[in-house]
Amino acid sequence: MYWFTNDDRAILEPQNDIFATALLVLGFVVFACVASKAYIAHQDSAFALESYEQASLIAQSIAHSQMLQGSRQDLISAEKLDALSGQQADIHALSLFFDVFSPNVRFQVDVSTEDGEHIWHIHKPASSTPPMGQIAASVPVTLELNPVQQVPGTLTVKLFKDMWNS
Amino acid sequence: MKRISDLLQNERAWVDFVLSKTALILASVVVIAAIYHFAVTMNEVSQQRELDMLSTELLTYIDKVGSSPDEVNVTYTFNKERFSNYQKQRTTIFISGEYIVINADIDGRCIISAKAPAFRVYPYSPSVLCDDLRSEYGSSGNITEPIRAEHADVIGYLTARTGEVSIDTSDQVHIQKIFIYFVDDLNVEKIGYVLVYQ
Repeated sequence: MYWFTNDDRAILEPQNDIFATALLVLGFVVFACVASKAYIAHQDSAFALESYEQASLIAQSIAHSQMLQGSRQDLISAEKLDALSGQQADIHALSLFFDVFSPNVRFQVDVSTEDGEHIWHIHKPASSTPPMGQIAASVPVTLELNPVQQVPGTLTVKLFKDMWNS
Repeated sequence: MKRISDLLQNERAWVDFVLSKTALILASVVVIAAIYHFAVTMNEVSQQRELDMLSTELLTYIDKVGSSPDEVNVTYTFNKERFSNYQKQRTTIFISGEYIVINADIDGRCIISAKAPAFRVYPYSPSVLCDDLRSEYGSSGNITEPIRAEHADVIGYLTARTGEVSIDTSDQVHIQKIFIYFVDDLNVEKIGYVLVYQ
């Protein structure tokens, strides 16, 4: 270090301005990279927040839907869930279930009992392009398995992120 | 030949000086242009976010009304403070059955924010909806006059009739949820629509 600071030959002197400019360009490139990364992260979190709110409103709407209502307004009927999920789903009921919502919003509904013994998946019969990502929101519900058995469960809406929202 | 020899033996380093200074000037121009472009881009991004915020607010109102299990009616007033930034520019808001679009023309650049509501939207008043349904199906679709048709037909008919409706930001927007009732030989079914009108 001592040798370097006392070197009077001025080998680097003529190129000082080039080194300074190179450092400036490098600094700017690093700054632009950091700023664009921060912007992308902010976009992703803003999309997640907006979509979560939408998924949550869809979940609340489905939890109160008359199409799933059991013997009381606050109950979801397992029998009606059976008719909407699985291979033997009623196509007409499924179409009425999803036609309440805009065709531009793609989602799937999962309903499960708290102990995980019963799980229902409700999704549109014709799914086109594979989804790029998903945001999920859940609401607690009470499931009516039969007239004498009611169990707590969860209704989850998985909202898919498609090309339009990417 | 002598000139080339002189040039090769010249030790004043003027070529080195000219080349390095030219490179520095070029590099400075590129860096200044990049910084300017970056600043302009950040400004555009900021304006886009502001528009997105406005469209998201309206979208949330529509989705909240749509998620209600009952027929409800709310009014939405555009935030005048937020819109004051766009008063000098031409800002238009369109609502169709599928999207809410806010279009701002800022200094000749067109910035668009489009959002898709989660529920079915009909951008007309309840009286227009009743008239449309009565003219096509002979019933207004309310609980006392259910429609004798498949729900998919009615949705297809209303979708075909829906165009882009311009919204005036100085006026209140009414957001109303109504149910259209259908009847077949056995059951009465209903489907919710969110009406957005002024």
